[in-house]
Amino acid sequence: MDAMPVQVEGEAGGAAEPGGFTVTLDRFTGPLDLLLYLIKKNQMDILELPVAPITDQYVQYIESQKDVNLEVAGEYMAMASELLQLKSRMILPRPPVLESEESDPRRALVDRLLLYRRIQAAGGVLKDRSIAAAKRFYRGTVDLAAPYRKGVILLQEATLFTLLAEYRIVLDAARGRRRPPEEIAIDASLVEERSTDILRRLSGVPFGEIVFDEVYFVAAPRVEVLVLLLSLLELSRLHLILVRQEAPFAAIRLEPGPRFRSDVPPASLLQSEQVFETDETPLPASPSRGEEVSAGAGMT
Amino acid sequence: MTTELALSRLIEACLFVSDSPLSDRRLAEVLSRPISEVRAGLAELRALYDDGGSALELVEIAEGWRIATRASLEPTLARIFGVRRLQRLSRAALEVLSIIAYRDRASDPATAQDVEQVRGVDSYAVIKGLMEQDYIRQAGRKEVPGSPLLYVTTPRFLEYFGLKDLKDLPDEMELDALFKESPQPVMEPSPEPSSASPADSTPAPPP
Repeated sequence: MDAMPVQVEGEAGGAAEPGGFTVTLDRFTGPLDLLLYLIKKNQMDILELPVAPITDQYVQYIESQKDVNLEVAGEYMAMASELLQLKSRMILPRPPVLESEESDPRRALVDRLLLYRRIQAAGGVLKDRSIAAAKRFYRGTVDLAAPYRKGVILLQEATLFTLLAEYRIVLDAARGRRRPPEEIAIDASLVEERSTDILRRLSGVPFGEIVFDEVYFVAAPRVEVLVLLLSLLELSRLHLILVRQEAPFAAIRLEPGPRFRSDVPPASLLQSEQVFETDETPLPASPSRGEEVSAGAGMT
Repeated sequence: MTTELALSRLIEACLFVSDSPLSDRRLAEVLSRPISEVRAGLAELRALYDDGGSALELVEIAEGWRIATRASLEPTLARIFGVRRLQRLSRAALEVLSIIAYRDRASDPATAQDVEQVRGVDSYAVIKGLMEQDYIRQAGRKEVPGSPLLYVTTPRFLEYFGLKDLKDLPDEMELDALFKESPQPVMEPSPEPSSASPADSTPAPPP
Protein backbone atom coordinates (compact mmCIF):
# COMPACT_ATOMS: atom_id res chain seq x y z
CA MET A 1 0.00 0.00 0.00
CA ASP A 2 0.98 3.60 -0.27
CA ALA A 3 2.87 5.20 2.52
CA MET A 4 0.97 7.78 4.50
CA PRO A 5 1.87 11.33 3.59
CA VAL A 6 3.26 12.09 7.01
CA GLN A 7 5.79 9.34 6.75
CA VAL A 8 9.36 10.31 6.24
CA GLU A 9 10.71 8.94 3.01
CA GLY A 10 12.51 5.71 3.72
CA GLU A 11 15.78 5.13 1.95
CA ALA A 12 15.70 1.51 2.96
CA GLY A 13 18.01 -0.68 0.96
CA GLY A 14 16.59 -4.09 0.32
CA ALA A 15 18.41 -7.37 0.41
CA ALA A 16 20.32 -8.31 -2.71
CA GLU A 17 18.31 -10.44 -5.08
CA PRO A 18 19.81 -13.21 -7.17
CA GLY A 19 19.04 -11.29 -10.37
CA GLY A 20 21.22 -8.41 -9.29
CA PHE A 21 18.36 -6.26 -7.99
CA THR A 22 19.05 -4.59 -4.72
CA VAL A 23 15.77 -2.82 -4.11
CA THR A 24 12.51 -4.01 -2.63
CA LEU A 25 8.97 -3.31 -3.75
CA ASP A 26 8.10 -0.85 -0.99
CA ARG A 27 10.66 1.45 -2.51
CA PHE A 28 8.34 1.96 -5.42
CA THR A 29 5.14 3.95 -5.38
CA GLY A 30 3.42 1.55 -7.74
CA PRO A 31 3.78 -0.69 -10.79
CA LEU A 32 4.31 2.29 -13.11
CA ASP A 33 7.10 3.54 -10.87
CA LEU A 34 8.76 0.13 -11.06
CA LEU A 35 8.37 0.08 -14.84
CA LEU A 36 9.90 3.54 -15.19
CA TYR A 37 12.75 2.43 -12.99
CA LEU A 38 13.43 -0.63 -15.13
CA ILE A 39 13.22 1.43 -18.32
CA LYS A 40 15.65 4.01 -17.01
CA LYS A 41 17.98 1.39 -15.59
CA ASN A 42 18.25 -0.33 -18.94
CA GLN A 43 18.38 2.98 -20.80
CA MET A 44 15.43 1.96 -22.92
CA ASP A 45 13.53 4.37 -25.13
CA ILE A 46 10.19 4.88 -23.54
CA LEU A 47 8.58 5.73 -26.90
CA GLU A 48 9.92 2.56 -28.51
CA LEU A 49 9.25 0.42 -25.50
CA PRO A 50 10.85 -3.02 -25.97
CA VAL A 51 7.93 -4.98 -24.59
CA ALA A 52 9.46 -8.46 -24.39
CA PRO A 53 12.58 -7.59 -22.35
CA ILE A 54 10.76 -5.17 -20.05
CA THR A 55 8.03 -7.75 -19.44
CA ASP A 56 10.57 -10.44 -18.64
CA GLN A 57 12.41 -8.19 -16.23
CA TYR A 58 9.23 -6.96 -14.63
CA VAL A 59 7.84 -10.44 -14.10
CA GLN A 60 11.18 -11.71 -12.84
CA TYR A 61 11.32 -8.87 -10.36
CA ILE A 62 7.77 -9.43 -9.14
CA GLU A 63 8.46 -13.16 -8.75
CA SER A 64 11.48 -12.40 -6.58
CA GLN A 65 9.37 -10.15 -4.40
CA LYS A 66 6.30 -12.35 -4.12
CA ASP A 67 7.18 -13.75 -0.73
CA VAL A 68 7.98 -10.35 0.70
CA ASN A 69 4.58 -8.72 0.55
CA LEU A 70 1.56 -10.45 -0.91
CA GLU A 71 -0.77 -7.52 -0.45
CA VAL A 72 1.45 -5.09 -2.32
CA ALA A 73 1.99 -7.64 -5.04
CA GLY A 74 -1.70 -7.42 -6.05
CA GLU A 75 -1.43 -4.16 -7.98
CA TYR A 76 1.93 -5.21 -9.36
CA MET A 77 0.51 -8.53 -10.49
CA ALA A 78 -2.21 -6.73 -12.44
CA MET A 79 0.45 -4.81 -14.34
CA ALA A 80 2.38 -8.04 -14.93
CA SER A 81 -0.60 -9.67 -16.62
CA GLU A 82 -1.18 -6.51 -18.66
CA LEU A 83 2.42 -6.65 -19.82
CA LEU A 84 2.24 -10.34 -20.66
CA GLN A 85 -0.87 -9.73 -22.70
CA LEU A 86 0.87 -6.90 -24.50
CA LYS A 87 3.88 -9.08 -25.15
CA SER A 88 1.80 -11.79 -26.79
CA ARG A 89 -0.04 -9.20 -28.87
CA MET A 90 3.30 -7.86 -30.07
CA ILE A 91 4.36 -11.35 -31.14
CA LEU A 92 1.18 -12.05 -33.10
CA PRO A 93 1.31 -10.91 -36.72
CA ARG A 94 -0.78 -7.82 -37.31
CA PRO A 95 -2.73 -7.15 -40.47
CA PRO A 96 -0.68 -4.77 -42.61
CA VAL A 97 -3.60 -2.37 -42.99
CA LEU A 98 -3.49 -1.51 -39.33
CA GLU A 99 0.29 -1.20 -39.31
CA SER A 100 0.26 2.43 -38.34
CA GLU A 101 1.35 4.34 -35.31
CA GLU A 102 -2.24 4.59 -34.14
CA SER A 103 -2.62 0.85 -33.89
CA ASP A 104 0.53 0.27 -31.88
CA PRO A 105 -0.66 -1.86 -28.97
CA ARG A 106 1.98 -0.24 -26.78
CA ARG A 107 0.43 3.17 -27.24
CA ALA A 108 -1.84 3.13 -24.17
CA LEU A 109 0.89 1.95 -21.83
CA VAL A 110 3.48 4.37 -23.22
CA ASP A 111 1.02 7.25 -22.76
CA ARG A 112 0.41 6.20 -19.18
CA LEU A 113 4.13 5.99 -18.52
CA LEU A 114 4.77 9.42 -20.02
CA LEU A 115 1.98 10.97 -17.98
CA TYR A 116 3.13 9.25 -14.84
CA ARG A 117 6.71 10.36 -15.41
CA ARG A 118 5.49 13.91 -15.78
CA ILE A 119 3.55 13.64 -12.51
CA GLN A 120 6.63 12.34 -10.76
CA ALA A 121 8.64 15.25 -12.11
CA ALA A 122 5.98 17.62 -10.81
CA GLY A 123 6.19 15.90 -7.43
CA GLY A 124 9.92 16.49 -7.43
CA VAL A 125 9.40 20.16 -8.23
CA LEU A 126 6.87 20.42 -5.41
CA LYS A 127 9.31 18.87 -3.01
CA ASP A 128 12.02 21.37 -3.95
CA ARG A 129 9.53 24.20 -3.58
CA SER A 130 8.51 23.03 -0.11
CA ILE A 131 12.13 22.93 0.99
CA ALA A 132 12.65 26.46 -0.28
CA ALA A 133 9.39 27.66 1.28
CA ALA A 134 10.34 26.20 4.66
CA LYS A 135 13.24 28.63 4.83
CA ARG A 136 10.88 31.49 5.64
CA PHE A 137 9.17 32.09 8.96
CA TYR A 138 5.90 33.94 9.25
CA ARG A 139 4.39 35.88 12.06
CA GLY A 140 2.65 33.72 14.64
CA THR A 141 4.33 30.46 13.67
CA VAL A 142 6.94 30.42 16.43
CA ASP A 143 5.88 31.13 19.99
CA LEU A 144 9.02 32.38 21.66
CA ALA A 145 7.10 33.79 24.63
CA ALA A 146 5.92 30.37 25.75
CA PRO A 147 8.18 28.47 28.12
CA TYR A 148 10.04 26.16 25.83
CA ARG A 149 13.20 24.18 25.52
CA LYS A 150 15.49 23.83 22.57
CA GLY A 151 14.33 21.26 20.09
CA VAL A 152 10.69 21.47 21.07
CA ILE A 153 8.26 20.62 18.29
CA LEU A 154 5.78 23.10 17.01
CA LEU A 155 2.40 21.56 17.54
CA GLN A 156 1.41 22.64 14.05
CA GLU A 157 4.03 20.41 12.58
CA ALA A 158 3.71 17.51 14.96
CA THR A 159 2.75 14.22 13.43
CA LEU A 160 1.45 11.18 15.24
CA PHE A 161 4.97 9.81 15.30
CA THR A 162 6.61 12.90 16.75
CA LEU A 163 3.88 13.04 19.36
CA LEU A 164 4.48 9.40 20.23
CA ALA A 165 8.19 10.05 20.56
CA GLU A 166 7.53 12.98 22.87
CA TYR A 167 5.05 10.93 24.87
CA ARG A 168 7.72 8.30 25.37
CA ILE A 169 10.17 10.89 26.65
CA VAL A 170 7.62 12.19 29.15
CA LEU A 171 6.79 8.64 30.20
CA ASP A 172 10.43 7.71 30.72
CA ALA A 173 11.02 10.86 32.72
CA ALA A 174 8.04 10.07 34.91
CA ARG A 175 9.29 6.53 35.42
CA GLY A 176 12.70 7.73 36.47
CA ARG A 177 11.15 10.00 39.04
CA ARG A 178 8.74 7.44 40.41
CA ARG A 179 9.57 6.28 43.95
CA PRO A 180 8.73 2.90 45.38
CA PRO A 181 5.38 3.09 47.15
CA GLU A 182 5.68 3.58 50.87
CA GLU A 183 2.50 1.73 51.65
CA ILE A 184 1.10 -1.41 50.08
CA ALA A 185 -2.53 -1.91 50.88
CA ILE A 186 -3.33 -5.57 51.27
CA ASP A 187 -6.42 -6.85 52.96
CA ALA A 188 -5.23 -8.73 56.04
CA SER A 189 -8.08 -11.20 55.79
CA LEU A 190 -6.62 -12.37 52.45
CA VAL A 191 -3.36 -13.33 54.15
CA GLU A 192 -5.27 -15.06 56.93
CA GLU A 193 -7.36 -16.97 54.45
CA ARG A 194 -4.32 -18.08 52.51
CA SER A 195 -2.43 -19.10 55.67
CA THR A 196 -5.38 -21.16 56.82
CA ASP A 197 -5.53 -22.81 53.44
CA ILE A 198 -1.86 -23.77 53.55
CA LEU A 199 -2.20 -25.20 57.05
CA ARG A 200 -5.25 -27.21 56.01
CA ARG A 201 -3.34 -28.65 53.06
CA LEU A 202 -0.44 -29.54 55.35
CA SER A 203 -2.62 -31.49 57.76
CA GLY A 204 -4.28 -33.27 54.83
CA VAL A 205 -1.17 -34.82 53.27
CA PRO A 206 0.16 -38.18 54.53
CA PHE A 207 3.86 -37.33 54.65
CA GLY A 208 3.22 -33.87 55.99
CA GLU A 209 4.95 -32.19 53.13
CA ILE A 210 3.77 -30.13 50.15
CA VAL A 211 5.68 -28.68 47.25
CA PHE A 212 5.62 -24.96 46.72
CA ASP A 213 4.27 -25.48 43.20
CA GLU A 214 1.07 -26.86 44.70
CA VAL A 215 0.16 -23.57 46.29
CA TYR A 216 1.66 -21.22 43.75
CA PHE A 217 -0.02 -20.34 40.48
CA VAL A 218 2.20 -18.83 37.87
CA ALA A 219 -0.60 -16.92 36.26
CA ALA A 220 -1.99 -15.56 39.53
CA PRO A 221 -2.52 -11.82 39.81
CA ARG A 222 0.26 -9.92 41.50
CA VAL A 223 -1.77 -9.32 44.65
CA GLU A 224 -2.31 -13.04 45.10
CA VAL A 225 1.38 -13.80 44.74
CA LEU A 226 2.09 -11.12 47.30
CA VAL A 227 -0.52 -12.57 49.65
CA LEU A 228 1.03 -16.03 49.28
CA LEU A 229 4.49 -14.68 50.04
CA LEU A 230 3.24 -12.83 53.12
CA SER A 231 1.37 -15.93 54.29
CA LEU A 232 4.45 -18.15 53.97
CA LEU A 233 6.60 -15.59 55.77
CA GLU A 234 4.05 -15.21 58.52
CA LEU A 235 3.60 -18.99 58.94
CA SER A 236 7.31 -19.65 59.09
CA ARG A 237 7.84 -16.76 61.48
CA LEU A 238 5.25 -18.36 63.77
CA HIS A 239 7.07 -21.74 63.45
CA LEU A 240 3.94 -23.26 61.99
CA ILE A 241 5.76 -24.33 58.84
CA LEU A 242 9.31 -25.02 57.69
CA VAL A 243 10.41 -23.99 54.22
CA ARG A 244 13.11 -26.08 52.62
CA GLN A 245 15.00 -25.94 49.33
CA GLU A 246 17.66 -28.62 48.74
CA ALA A 247 19.54 -26.83 45.99
CA PRO A 248 19.32 -23.59 44.05
CA PHE A 249 16.27 -23.70 41.74
CA ALA A 250 15.17 -27.00 43.27
CA ALA A 251 11.60 -27.51 44.40
CA ILE A 252 10.65 -25.56 47.49
CA ARG A 253 9.05 -27.84 50.07
CA LEU A 254 6.77 -26.88 52.90
CA GLU A 255 6.48 -29.08 56.02
CA PRO A 256 4.91 -28.67 59.41
CA GLY A 257 6.88 -26.51 61.83
CA PRO A 258 7.54 -27.19 65.53
CA ARG A 259 4.34 -25.44 66.62
CA PHE A 260 2.11 -27.08 64.02
CA ARG A 261 -0.63 -29.25 65.49
CA SER A 262 -2.82 -31.28 63.19
CA ASP A 263 -5.50 -31.73 65.89
CA VAL A 264 -6.19 -27.99 66.15
CA PRO A 265 -8.21 -26.29 63.37
CA PRO A 266 -5.88 -24.13 61.25
CA ALA A 267 -7.86 -20.98 61.99
CA SER A 268 -7.34 -21.35 65.73
CA LEU A 269 -3.63 -22.00 65.24
CA LEU A 270 -3.37 -18.62 63.65
CA GLN A 271 -5.78 -16.86 65.97
CA SER A 272 -4.04 -18.07 69.07
CA GLU A 273 -1.07 -16.07 68.00
CA GLN A 274 -3.15 -12.93 67.46
CA VAL A 275 -1.08 -12.24 64.47
CA PHE A 276 -3.65 -10.53 62.39
CA GLU A 277 -5.61 -7.53 63.32
CA THR A 278 -9.28 -8.10 63.56
CA ASP A 279 -10.52 -4.98 61.84
CA GLU A 280 -11.23 -5.03 58.15
CA THR A 281 -9.14 -2.03 57.15
CA PRO A 282 -6.20 -2.81 54.89
CA LEU A 283 -2.97 -3.01 56.78
CA PRO A 284 -0.10 -0.81 55.83
CA ALA A 285 3.04 -2.85 55.36
CA SER A 286 5.03 -0.36 57.36
CA PRO A 287 7.68 -0.87 60.01
CA SER A 288 5.24 0.13 62.74
CA ARG A 289 3.09 -2.88 61.92
CA GLY A 290 6.04 -5.22 62.21
CA GLU A 291 6.74 -3.91 65.73
CA GLU A 292 3.13 -4.38 66.70
CA VAL A 293 3.09 -7.96 65.48
CA SER A 294 6.32 -8.99 67.15
CA ALA A 295 5.17 -7.36 70.37
CA GLY A 296 1.93 -9.30 70.22
CA ALA A 297 3.76 -12.53 69.45
CA GLY A 298 6.13 -11.99 72.32
CA MET A 299 3.31 -11.67 74.82
CA THR A 300 1.81 -15.04 74.02
CA MET B 1 -5.65 64.55 13.11
CA THR B 2 -3.89 61.58 11.60
CA THR B 3 -0.39 61.97 10.37
CA GLU B 4 -0.12 61.55 6.62
CA LEU B 5 1.58 58.19 6.02
CA ALA B 6 3.00 56.90 2.78
CA LEU B 7 0.77 54.23 1.23
CA SER B 8 3.64 51.75 1.43
CA ARG B 9 3.68 52.20 5.22
CA LEU B 10 -0.06 51.64 5.46
CA ILE B 11 0.33 48.47 3.42
CA GLU B 12 3.12 47.42 5.77
CA ALA B 13 0.80 47.85 8.77
CA CYS B 14 -1.95 45.81 7.09
CA LEU B 15 0.41 42.98 6.22
CA PHE B 16 1.84 43.06 9.73
CA VAL B 17 -1.47 42.60 11.50
CA SER B 18 -2.87 40.04 9.09
CA ASP B 19 -2.45 36.35 9.82
CA SER B 20 -3.03 35.27 6.25
CA PRO B 21 -1.81 36.54 2.88
CA LEU B 22 -3.52 39.71 1.61
CA SER B 23 -4.14 40.10 -2.10
CA ASP B 24 -3.55 43.47 -3.77
CA ARG B 25 -7.27 43.54 -4.47
CA ARG B 26 -8.09 43.13 -0.80
CA LEU B 27 -5.51 45.75 0.20
CA ALA B 28 -7.08 48.18 -2.26
CA GLU B 29 -10.47 47.53 -0.67
CA VAL B 30 -9.20 47.93 2.87
CA LEU B 31 -7.24 51.09 2.13
CA SER B 32 -9.81 52.53 -0.31
CA ARG B 33 -7.15 53.18 -2.91
CA PRO B 34 -6.96 52.18 -6.55
CA ILE B 35 -5.33 48.82 -7.13
CA SER B 36 -2.61 50.34 -9.32
CA GLU B 37 -1.50 52.57 -6.43
CA VAL B 38 -1.51 49.58 -4.09
CA ARG B 39 0.69 47.65 -6.49
CA ALA B 40 3.11 50.56 -6.68
CA GLY B 41 3.04 50.77 -2.88
CA LEU B 42 3.83 47.06 -2.60
CA ALA B 43 6.80 47.45 -4.93
CA GLU B 44 8.00 50.42 -2.91
CA LEU B 45 7.66 48.53 0.36
CA ARG B 46 9.45 45.54 -1.10
CA ALA B 47 12.36 47.75 -2.12
CA LEU B 48 12.41 49.34 1.35
CA TYR B 49 12.84 45.93 2.98
CA ASP B 50 15.37 44.76 0.41
CA ASP B 51 17.56 47.83 0.57
CA GLY B 52 17.30 48.50 4.28
CA GLY B 53 19.15 45.37 5.38
CA SER B 54 16.02 44.11 7.12
CA ALA B 55 15.65 40.57 8.42
CA LEU B 56 12.23 40.64 6.77
CA GLU B 57 11.09 40.62 3.19
CA LEU B 58 7.88 40.82 1.23
CA VAL B 59 6.75 37.48 -0.17
CA GLU B 60 4.05 36.76 -2.73
CA ILE B 61 2.40 33.55 -1.66
CA ALA B 62 -0.99 31.83 -1.77
CA GLU B 63 -2.64 34.54 -3.87
CA GLY B 64 -1.49 37.34 -1.61
CA TRP B 65 1.37 39.08 0.14
CA ARG B 66 3.01 38.40 3.45
CA ILE B 67 5.92 39.63 5.48
CA ALA B 68 8.38 36.82 6.19
CA THR B 69 11.88 36.37 7.49
CA ARG B 70 14.51 36.28 4.78
CA ALA B 71 15.20 32.77 3.46
CA SER B 72 18.95 33.33 3.68
CA LEU B 73 18.61 33.70 7.46
CA GLU B 74 17.00 30.29 7.86
CA PRO B 75 19.98 28.39 9.29
CA THR B 76 20.53 31.03 11.97
CA LEU B 77 16.86 31.49 12.79
CA ALA B 78 16.01 27.79 12.88
CA ARG B 79 18.72 27.35 15.48
CA ILE B 80 17.53 30.31 17.56
CA PHE B 81 13.88 29.27 17.35
CA GLY B 82 14.72 25.66 18.12
CA VAL B 83 12.57 24.52 15.24
CA ARG B 84 12.88 21.03 13.89
CA ARG B 85 11.18 20.53 10.58
CA LEU B 86 10.09 16.94 10.72
CA GLN B 87 7.28 16.72 8.27
CA ARG B 88 8.29 15.55 4.85
CA LEU B 89 5.80 14.33 2.34
CA SER B 90 6.32 10.88 0.85
CA ARG B 91 6.79 10.40 -2.89
CA ALA B 92 3.30 8.90 -3.04
CA ALA B 93 1.84 11.99 -1.36
CA LEU B 94 3.71 14.33 -3.73
CA GLU B 95 2.40 12.39 -6.72
CA VAL B 96 -1.18 12.56 -5.52
CA LEU B 97 -0.82 16.28 -4.80
CA SER B 98 0.65 16.89 -8.26
CA ILE B 99 -2.24 15.12 -9.96
CA ILE B 100 -4.85 17.00 -7.93
CA ALA B 101 -3.06 20.34 -8.33
CA TYR B 102 -2.67 20.09 -12.11
CA ARG B 103 -6.26 18.99 -12.58
CA ASP B 104 -7.35 21.82 -10.29
CA ARG B 105 -5.32 24.29 -12.36
CA ALA B 106 -7.01 23.05 -15.51
CA SER B 107 -10.40 23.66 -13.78
CA ASP B 108 -11.09 19.95 -14.14
CA PRO B 109 -10.88 18.67 -10.56
CA ALA B 110 -9.79 15.06 -10.07
CA THR B 111 -11.69 12.25 -8.38
CA ALA B 112 -10.02 9.52 -6.35
CA GLN B 113 -10.57 7.29 -9.37
CA ASP B 114 -8.67 9.73 -11.62
CA VAL B 115 -5.75 9.73 -9.20
CA GLU B 116 -5.74 5.96 -9.06
CA GLN B 117 -5.82 5.70 -12.83
CA VAL B 118 -2.75 7.87 -13.27
CA ARG B 119 -0.78 6.21 -10.48
CA GLY B 120 -1.84 2.63 -11.05
CA VAL B 121 -2.39 2.10 -7.33
CA ASP B 122 -5.24 2.69 -4.94
CA SER B 123 -4.59 6.15 -3.51
CA TYR B 124 -7.50 6.58 -1.14
CA ALA B 125 -5.39 6.39 2.02
CA VAL B 126 -3.05 9.08 0.73
CA ILE B 127 -5.92 11.33 -0.31
CA LYS B 128 -7.45 10.94 3.12
CA GLY B 129 -4.17 11.77 4.82
CA LEU B 130 -3.65 14.84 2.65
CA MET B 131 -7.18 16.00 3.41
CA GLU B 132 -6.65 15.56 7.15
CA GLN B 133 -3.57 17.74 6.86
CA ASP B 134 -5.51 20.34 4.86
CA TYR B 135 -3.46 20.17 1.68
CA ILE B 136 -6.56 19.29 -0.31
CA ARG B 137 -10.29 19.56 0.21
CA GLN B 138 -13.45 18.18 -1.30
CA ALA B 139 -15.16 20.39 -3.86
CA GLY B 140 -18.50 18.87 -4.68
CA ARG B 141 -19.23 15.80 -6.73
CA LYS B 142 -18.71 14.94 -10.34
CA GLU B 143 -21.92 14.66 -12.34
CA VAL B 144 -21.32 11.13 -13.52
CA PRO B 145 -22.80 7.83 -12.33
CA GLY B 146 -21.82 7.25 -8.73
CA SER B 147 -21.23 11.00 -8.33
CA PRO B 148 -17.69 10.67 -6.97
CA LEU B 149 -16.14 13.43 -4.84
CA LEU B 150 -13.89 16.01 -6.47
CA TYR B 151 -10.68 17.19 -4.86
CA VAL B 152 -8.95 20.56 -5.14
CA THR B 153 -5.98 22.19 -3.43
CA THR B 154 -6.24 24.54 -0.43
CA PRO B 155 -4.49 27.82 0.49
CA ARG B 156 -2.39 25.70 2.84
CA PHE B 157 -1.13 23.78 -0.19
CA LEU B 158 0.05 27.02 -1.82
CA GLU B 159 1.62 28.23 1.41
CA TYR B 160 3.39 24.96 2.15
CA PHE B 161 4.96 24.87 -1.31
CA GLY B 162 5.57 28.61 -1.45
CA LEU B 163 3.42 29.04 -4.55
CA LYS B 164 1.82 32.34 -5.60
CA ASP B 165 -1.02 30.40 -7.20
CA LEU B 166 -1.50 27.20 -9.21
CA LYS B 167 -0.16 28.92 -12.33
CA ASP B 168 3.12 29.10 -10.44
CA LEU B 169 3.50 25.33 -11.01
CA PRO B 170 5.79 24.39 -13.89
CA ASP B 171 3.92 23.68 -17.13
CA GLU B 172 4.23 20.50 -19.16
CA MET B 173 7.06 21.82 -21.30
CA GLU B 174 9.09 22.72 -18.24
CA LEU B 175 8.43 19.30 -16.72
CA ASP B 176 9.47 17.44 -19.85
CA ALA B 177 12.60 19.59 -20.02
CA LEU B 178 13.59 18.08 -16.68
CA PHE B 179 14.12 14.72 -18.41
CA LYS B 180 16.33 16.13 -21.12
CA GLU B 181 18.56 17.57 -18.44
CA SER B 182 18.64 14.32 -16.49
CA PRO B 183 22.11 12.74 -16.40
CA GLN B 184 20.73 9.35 -17.40
CA PRO B 185 19.08 9.86 -20.78
CA VAL B 186 15.91 7.90 -21.13
CA MET B 187 15.12 8.99 -24.68
CA GLU B 188 18.11 7.36 -26.35
CA PRO B 189 17.65 3.98 -27.91
CA SER B 190 19.88 1.46 -26.25
CA PRO B 191 21.32 -1.90 -27.21
CA GLU B 192 19.17 -4.84 -26.23
CA PRO B 193 19.89 -5.53 -22.59
CA SER B 194 20.62 -9.01 -21.32
CA SER B 195 17.18 -9.35 -19.83
CA ALA B 196 17.79 -12.35 -17.60
CA SER B 197 20.43 -10.72 -15.42
CA PRO B 198 20.96 -7.00 -15.75
CA ALA B 199 24.63 -6.11 -15.64
CA ASP B 200 24.06 -2.98 -13.59
CA SER B 201 24.26 -4.11 -9.98
CA THR B 202 24.02 -0.63 -8.46
CA PRO B 203 20.69 0.69 -9.66
CA ALA B 204 20.05 4.39 -9.65
CA PRO B 205 17.05 5.54 -7.62
CA PRO B 206 13.82 5.89 -9.53
CA PRO B 207 13.12 9.45 -10.74
